[in-house]
Amino acid sequence: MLKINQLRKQYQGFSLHCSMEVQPGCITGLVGRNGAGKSTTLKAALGLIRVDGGSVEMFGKDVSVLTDQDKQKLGVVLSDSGFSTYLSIRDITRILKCLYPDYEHDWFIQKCQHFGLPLDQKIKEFSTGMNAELKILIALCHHASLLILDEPTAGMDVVVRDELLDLLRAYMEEDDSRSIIISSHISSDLESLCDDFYMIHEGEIILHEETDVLLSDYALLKADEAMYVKLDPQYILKSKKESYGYSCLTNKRQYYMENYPNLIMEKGSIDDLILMMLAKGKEV
Amino acid sequence: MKGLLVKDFCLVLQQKKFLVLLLLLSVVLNFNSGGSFVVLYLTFVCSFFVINSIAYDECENGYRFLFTLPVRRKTYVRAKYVFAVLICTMAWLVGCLISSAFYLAKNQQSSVQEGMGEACVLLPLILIFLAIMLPIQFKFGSEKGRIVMAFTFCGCILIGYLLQKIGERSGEQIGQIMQWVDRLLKQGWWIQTGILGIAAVMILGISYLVSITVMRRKEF
Repeated sequence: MLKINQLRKQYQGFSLHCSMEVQPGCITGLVGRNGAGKSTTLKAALGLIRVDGGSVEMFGKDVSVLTDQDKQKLGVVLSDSGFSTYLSIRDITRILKCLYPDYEHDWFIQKCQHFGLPLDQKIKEFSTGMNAELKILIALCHHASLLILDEPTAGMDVVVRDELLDLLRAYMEEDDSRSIIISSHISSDLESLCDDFYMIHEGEIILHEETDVLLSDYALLKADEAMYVKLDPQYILKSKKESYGYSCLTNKRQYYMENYPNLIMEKGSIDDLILMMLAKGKEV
Repeated sequence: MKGLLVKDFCLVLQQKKFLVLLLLLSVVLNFNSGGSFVVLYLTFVCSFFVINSIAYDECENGYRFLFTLPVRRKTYVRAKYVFAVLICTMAWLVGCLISSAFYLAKNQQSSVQEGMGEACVLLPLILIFLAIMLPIQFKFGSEKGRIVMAFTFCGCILIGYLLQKIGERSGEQIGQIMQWVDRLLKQGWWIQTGILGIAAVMILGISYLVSITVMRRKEF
């Protein structure tokens, strides 16, 4: 559905060099700290920036030669951009009708009413959460095959966020060839939604893993000084000095469970992964 | 392209109060000034809706989202030029109606044709103005665009002044050209409109090509 191959983009003080793929029927997460290159990667995928090398393919075509018909199969949410905030939802429906032959007007209006979005008010008068809700509904209203979502749930309250994540799940269930790529800082969103993850750091992909594998095989090992010395370092991805000794991230939980029965172990979560892989601190 | 035009007209209609005020002011100005002033005033003010629509698109990283829609950069530029021609023509027609109604109300039927003659020259002039403005707005955005626009018009005045000076000092050749242009302009409003119309179409065409190149090079 989306294939990024050896993409290179050079800015002053920042260099992006990454490859990734979004498979049909999959929800792929893109995680990383602020400034890691998530938005730049998505902008390159959308053809919004010129790349210095590599290629981006969407729907089997180079992104630079996508036609209007191809782009009608695409739904996008950008955290810092959208329709002019001087427009109202009623204005936007008129625009969407012209842009997308598959635009579902009744569904869109019904969802806007469900989320309490006023149809005749200018968007600039909306709260951050309302604006984020509207952006997701716009991306979903025309039966897109691929959704590219950059921080789509930013600013939403927990209840609405949950409802919108359900909408994304329902969108995927409708057609098993659809795909989503989503970047978010809220790891619980991603954990419950994504099939696989890419972790990006300083412009490079440092980890790609399926969510099931992450939740079943990754763990945080907590060892005192004596235990740490005895630990087999073969499957330790990262270690960090803590007040009690060391915390270590592994992707072979079963191995350490069998061989070190007294070792304290916590199941891996995306937050743990981000903290261990990306956090600055006393790394060992 | 239809979607983009709908967006631009929706943005214009967001300023309903301003439009009503503009219309009232035009009628009042027509009573005071008469002639084709109202046509110039309305068309010129409405031409700024085109510049404003670019500022709206640019605002809050708007371009970034716009180009994720099924809209190519070339289509976007084309939509802006179509919007420019449409809005200016509409404003021009309304101006002509007000001006004609004023003459007819004063029972000056013969002045209607004269007034229309003057008005016909104005539309291509305003379109030439927009043809200069649009690539500047696309290239520099609304903020820097204003400064560049000021320099551009200063440059135009300077070029005009220099041409005049060269004409004064030069030999017969330029003098003959100036006389020919002068004779042509004295032929009547329809000649002037024809010349300006052809010039407007040519300048708009060049401007459109420049704008496409500018937009294709842009990163969002």
